[in-house]
Amino acid sequence: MVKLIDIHKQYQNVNVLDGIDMEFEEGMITAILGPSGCGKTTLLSITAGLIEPTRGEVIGMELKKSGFIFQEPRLLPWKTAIQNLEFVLPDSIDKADKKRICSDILDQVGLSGFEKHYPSQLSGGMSQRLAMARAFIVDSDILFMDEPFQFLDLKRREQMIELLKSLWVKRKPMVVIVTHDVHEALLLSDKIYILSDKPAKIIKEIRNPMPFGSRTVKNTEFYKLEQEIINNYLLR
Amino acid sequence: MKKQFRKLSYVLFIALFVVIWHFLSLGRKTLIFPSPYEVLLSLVSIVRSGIFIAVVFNTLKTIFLSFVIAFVPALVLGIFSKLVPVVYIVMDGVSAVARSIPTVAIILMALLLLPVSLTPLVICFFVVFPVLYINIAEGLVSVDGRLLEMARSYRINKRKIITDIYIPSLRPFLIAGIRSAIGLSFKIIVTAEVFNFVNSNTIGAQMYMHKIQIDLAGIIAWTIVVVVISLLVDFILKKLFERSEIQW
Repeated sequence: MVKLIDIHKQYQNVNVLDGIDMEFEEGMITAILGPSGCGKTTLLSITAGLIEPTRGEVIGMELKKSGFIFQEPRLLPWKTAIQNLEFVLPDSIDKADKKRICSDILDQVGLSGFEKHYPSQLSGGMSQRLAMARAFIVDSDILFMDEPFQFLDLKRREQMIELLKSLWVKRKPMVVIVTHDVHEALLLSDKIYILSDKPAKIIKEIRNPMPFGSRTVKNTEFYKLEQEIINNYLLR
Repeated sequence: MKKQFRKLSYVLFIALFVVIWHFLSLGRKTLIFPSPYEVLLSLVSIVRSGIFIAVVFNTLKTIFLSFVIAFVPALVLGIFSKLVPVVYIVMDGVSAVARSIPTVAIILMALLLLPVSLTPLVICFFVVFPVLYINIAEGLVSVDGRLLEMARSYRINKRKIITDIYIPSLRPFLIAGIRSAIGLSFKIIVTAEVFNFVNSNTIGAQMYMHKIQIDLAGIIAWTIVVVVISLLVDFILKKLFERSEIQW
């Protein structure tokens, strides 16, 4: 388990995060839901160890292997699809194994045949799928996702959510996803933390009552929950 | 088709230039203005002379030596600029001053202060070093922070970050820097050689001797030699870089 204890963050005397306590559990997807600009990405970066909090501490991250999916794919433009995947693999894995692992995951994300394509030759959706493959290839203990579907249209976003679920279910790593989209949070996560506007505090912690396998828009509970979160917490 | 059109345009332009030059030389009022044919004869006699290879070799040797002398500190200081912000700030000022000093002032000072044989090297260093340094420093500063953050989030080791992110990011800046530095070296070295009388077997010294003889055809012929060699070196560099270039 990874714990955030009393996390505060200030940027030039502006309070961004105001005493956040959270718990991310093994084998669970946790969503951090909040309005744009409330400090969600900052919180994610603190958890991942990319930036330091002004006060407070992160416990349990020390020996964890992490993966990250950003808002943009952040692929190396001078490397092909397969080389972008190999980049994050440990040097201890031999060349042939690396190739096999990369080909397998490319197949799973529907990018077979695009191994030698450069990011500039891939569409936005394909690039994001490659970024997702990169995050899952490292066998991470914890996976951070920063609004990864933000720039995709509705149809591609739904496809990506299904793809993410299919990749996640194989190993069930701990996932922390930041989003401002209730829809996304409900379709993916077991637990949702709802944050207030800046300086961000936790307004509510919700356990998703829909079991993982039945988290779809066809579930009658889905829209009821969505409306409840929007009306009670986000439009408050 | 487009490439052929470009080649044809070059040939037509040169042909037109030579024709205009020829007609202008027909109506010349002074003896020193040569016709294209006279320049061609001079060029042939220069190339056929026994010293041509030695002269070109000497100048090229100085150019590449001065390039290496400027490149190594430019690379080291460029890296330090990325690591230590104070170095970047100081070097920004130093290179701005170095760029604004007239070349002829550097030449005259070097002639008075240094052994004559060293002057072309030193002059070239002062002119070429800022160009290389700026390209390297800017290249390193402009490395995409988001890619570095991605690498950090995956706990990629430093060696891999340098070889797979820094070096490829620096590459276009380095290529542009090297090409313009070499081009600049040709101009500076030949200019410096004009003032350097110790070794007469250099392109600049040969030009100076033609000047003493009021032989404009000889000066133009040597200029053509410099331009052709400079373009050839640039072409070779371009091909070398293209060969190892990745298609992205």
